[in-house]
Amino acid sequence: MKTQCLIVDDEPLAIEVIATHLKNFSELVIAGSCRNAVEAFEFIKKNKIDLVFLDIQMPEINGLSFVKSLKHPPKIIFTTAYRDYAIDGFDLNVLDYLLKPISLERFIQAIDKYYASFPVASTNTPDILFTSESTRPSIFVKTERKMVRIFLDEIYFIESLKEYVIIYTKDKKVITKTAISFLESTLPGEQFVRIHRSYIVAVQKISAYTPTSVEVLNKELPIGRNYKLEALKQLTK
Amino acid sequence: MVLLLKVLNKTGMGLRTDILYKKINLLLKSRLFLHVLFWLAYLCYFALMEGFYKSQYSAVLVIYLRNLPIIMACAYFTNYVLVPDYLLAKKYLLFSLTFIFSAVFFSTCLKIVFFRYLIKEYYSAEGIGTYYKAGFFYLPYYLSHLLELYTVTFVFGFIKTFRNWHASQQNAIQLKQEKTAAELKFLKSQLNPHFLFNVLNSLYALALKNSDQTADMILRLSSMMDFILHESGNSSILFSKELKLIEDYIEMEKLRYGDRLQFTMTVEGCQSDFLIAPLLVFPFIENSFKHGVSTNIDSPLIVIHIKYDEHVLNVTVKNSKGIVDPDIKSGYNEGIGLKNVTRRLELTYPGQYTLSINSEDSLFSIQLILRLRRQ
Repeated sequence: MKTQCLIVDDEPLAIEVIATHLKNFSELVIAGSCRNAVEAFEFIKKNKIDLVFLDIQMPEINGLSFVKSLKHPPKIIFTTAYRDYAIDGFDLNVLDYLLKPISLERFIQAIDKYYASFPVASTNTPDILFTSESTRPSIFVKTERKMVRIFLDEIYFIESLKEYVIIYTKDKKVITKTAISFLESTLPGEQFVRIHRSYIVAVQKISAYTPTSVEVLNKELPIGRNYKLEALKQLTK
Repeated sequence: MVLLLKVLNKTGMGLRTDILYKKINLLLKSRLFLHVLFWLAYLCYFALMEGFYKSQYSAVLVIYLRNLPIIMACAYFTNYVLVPDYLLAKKYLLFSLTFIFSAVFFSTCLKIVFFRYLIKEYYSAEGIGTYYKAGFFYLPYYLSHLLELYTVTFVFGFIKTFRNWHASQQNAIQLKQEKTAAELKFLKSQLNPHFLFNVLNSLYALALKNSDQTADMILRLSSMMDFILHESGNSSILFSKELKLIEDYIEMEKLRYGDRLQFTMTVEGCQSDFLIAPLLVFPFIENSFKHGVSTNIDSPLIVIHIKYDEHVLNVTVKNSKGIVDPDIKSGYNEGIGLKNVTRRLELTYPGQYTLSINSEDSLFSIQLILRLRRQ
């Protein structure tokens, strides 16, 4: 069962930001978006919604009154440009309070809070599990409450976002909570190279490189000054 | 008097003395009262002085009362017509001619009254004899009348000028304070979380999808910031700059609200630039978005018309009204506020503007007509 999400904001571009961030999560589906609270009220009545991204400042009925008006509110994450509604938000027992502009890092944290809000006995499972199969090495990565298998030869690159990393394969992104330095030390050194504070790339997947950047999966990633020598040595080996 | 009232207050006549106190305060501030007071003081001073000297109070009082209308006419004419209309308007020749003419006229009046009604009980027969003998046109007597007239007129004018000067001083201080407050409020309302962060969020959305609009919107935001930081502090700016601010702001708001907004703006006759105090027009536009768009659930309507013709600026802003959620804190809804703008108009362009605010069931409209002086 995938999580059904609703985005409520009176500004179309603000809806787009949330929608763009949500694409990083395969288990979260955008069920719809509304431009005001009245529309959202109808939408929630007709559809089963698990998670609502809700703007506070909206015409006629604001986000706070909207939440109060719901008898069985779904999980709520407030999105607002106001810094001073946070206390009201916590009074209403909402999951999180995102301040615009909403960065992906901060958004991931909020989604984490959403998953953490379920009383599931999965707390013992590690975030990353290395399999012992030798034929085709893979790892299990905890993402969105599941352990997802990723084959090492499918990984293009890994991006760090503070306490999270995004693992990019050809057609999907997997977000998990781990440190990039941990992955650097555990992934096989001949296949993966750290090129930047925020990036690890799979050597085999690099399509081009210059002394300052590498091209992988049609993206240009910078080579950090501190990693330059090591990275170039690996690449030219 | 005040002390007495305070004592009364303490002794328990609280409420009634309070009202009395307020009434006295009001009376002291009223203009009519001050004028009456001035002339009473004048009468008392001279009548008592001369009366005491000659110990004939009633006779002296009659003389002064008879002269009073002429002296008053002279004082009012000089201080309310001659000085403001000719002297202060730098029409010196006209002033000198009218001044001489009126001086002769008023002193002649005084002379006629004096000549006809000499009081026998007051002056000795001898004195009266010499006076009449000297004839109507005897210069020294004429001069003494002239002196009497213009001493009073001068004192009157001095008090009036001092009061005016004091009031304008107060006005200038207040204007400065109001302006600073307006700027601060503008800074706060524009750079406050709501507007700035929402715009930044929109820019972020544009950047995420590599939109072509991104660059343009960044420039517009930057231009708005430039206005706020560098123009809004000046006492007057070119109107084209204010127009640019309005355009930038509207583009930002259009970006935020997208297709929901029905908007038209027409600008007429602003090709030749002119000077105006900053942020007098912008708040009306801002207000229309705040109250019209952010609170309206359907497709809100905004119609703006700006026209400049023969030094008259005519701004009309109409917007559909929405419902304001009482839960929302005032921070956003107030903004600079119409009150603040009205106040600044009153201080900067007193008597040169008309502002009509019309609030119907579903439509809110504002019209500002501002007559700007030739520069």
